[in-house]
Amino acid sequence: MTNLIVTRKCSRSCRYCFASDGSSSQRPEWMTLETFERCLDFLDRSAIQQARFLGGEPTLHPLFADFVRRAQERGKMIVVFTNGLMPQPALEALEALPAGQCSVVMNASASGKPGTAGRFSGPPWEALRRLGQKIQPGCNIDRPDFDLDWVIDLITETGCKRAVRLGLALPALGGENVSLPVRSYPQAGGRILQFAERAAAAGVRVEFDCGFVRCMFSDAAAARLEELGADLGWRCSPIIDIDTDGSAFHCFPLEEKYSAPDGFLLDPRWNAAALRGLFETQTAPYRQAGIYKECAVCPYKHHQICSGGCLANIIKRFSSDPIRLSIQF
Amino acid sequence: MTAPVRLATPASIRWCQDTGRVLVIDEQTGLAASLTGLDAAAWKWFGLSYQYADVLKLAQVFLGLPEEETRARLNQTLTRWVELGLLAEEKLP
Repeated sequence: MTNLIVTRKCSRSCRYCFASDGSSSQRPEWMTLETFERCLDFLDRSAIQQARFLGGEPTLHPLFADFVRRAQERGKMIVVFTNGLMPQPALEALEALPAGQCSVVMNASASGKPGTAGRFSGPPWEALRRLGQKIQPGCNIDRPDFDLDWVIDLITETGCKRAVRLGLALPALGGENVSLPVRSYPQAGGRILQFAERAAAAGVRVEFDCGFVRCMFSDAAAARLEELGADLGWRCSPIIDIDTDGSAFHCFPLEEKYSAPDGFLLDPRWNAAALRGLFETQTAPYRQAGIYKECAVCPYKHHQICSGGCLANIIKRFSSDPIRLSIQF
Repeated sequence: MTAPVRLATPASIRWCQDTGRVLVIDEQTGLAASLTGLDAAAWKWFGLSYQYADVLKLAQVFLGLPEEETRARLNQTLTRWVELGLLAEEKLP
């Protein structure tokens, strides 16, 4: 899996978003056509069949439709992560793609319940109506007492794909975004199960993004989620996000800590597997821990059923306070 | 009598307290040391800025051993930490 950050610009400013707008960096605002072509070369030599567009809001890129066309010409499945506020040319480009060659996730905050008046009309909901089975909502859980029932209504009313991708609001190391406190995970887990029950009754499938931990659900709750057909996962692994300037990092939350060697995009020796190997080696010491102190004695962690949660949350547990002492041996 | 040695964790050292252990990581070398028993307890005490003499007293209670035997055990622990690179001689300004 590799995401292409074609721009850091965004038309929203969600409090939980771990992607900084890049305004304090020297990176270009937009990925150039040349860099995008190098990204496609990288995907080709990595045998990756998807071109995953990420931002910022990737559809704001003036060349978005051209990028989609070029990726498609290389046989890539188009995957787009959007906030739904798409310029018309971008929406039309995605509408024109065959259903099996395009998958769009429209992210919203789990606490972003729309009002009742005129709900689900106008942007961003228009994208859900027009893209139909090519698009599904994604919700980021940034508080434990969230209410997602409106998403079931949204799916029914707009006729989009009957699936919802759930993500936990994760911290960006060195950033100031709002994340779900790890001690709230079991409470959020209870809500997720309630939501999954109602979603399944409406024929809507629940899918988990990265960073979930097994212990946020009881054994009975986890078994019930499986019965309901939820796509469960307790994982955290290198994503590889390629930035507008052609640099790359482990994933957005670890952007400040683990980055690819300079010039990797032009170096044929570097493919996604090699980069993932590098990041796995670099992060291996931290992966011995988990987001809770109890992860050290957890059988799910021990047997690698659960990764122990998001690495950014794990790293935040570590202290760098110096220990000093004087001793006469 | 030789002068006391001043020891300190290198800047690349990070650690966290887990259930039953202290996990110490050297970001530079990739070393991860899982400390248990006296090692974990002593690391936490030193982490609270207790002086060697205070840690010695606590370790005596922890191990239930006489002072000299406890001192030998504690010094073995510190020597091992130095060998692993978790502690290094601190350069005086």
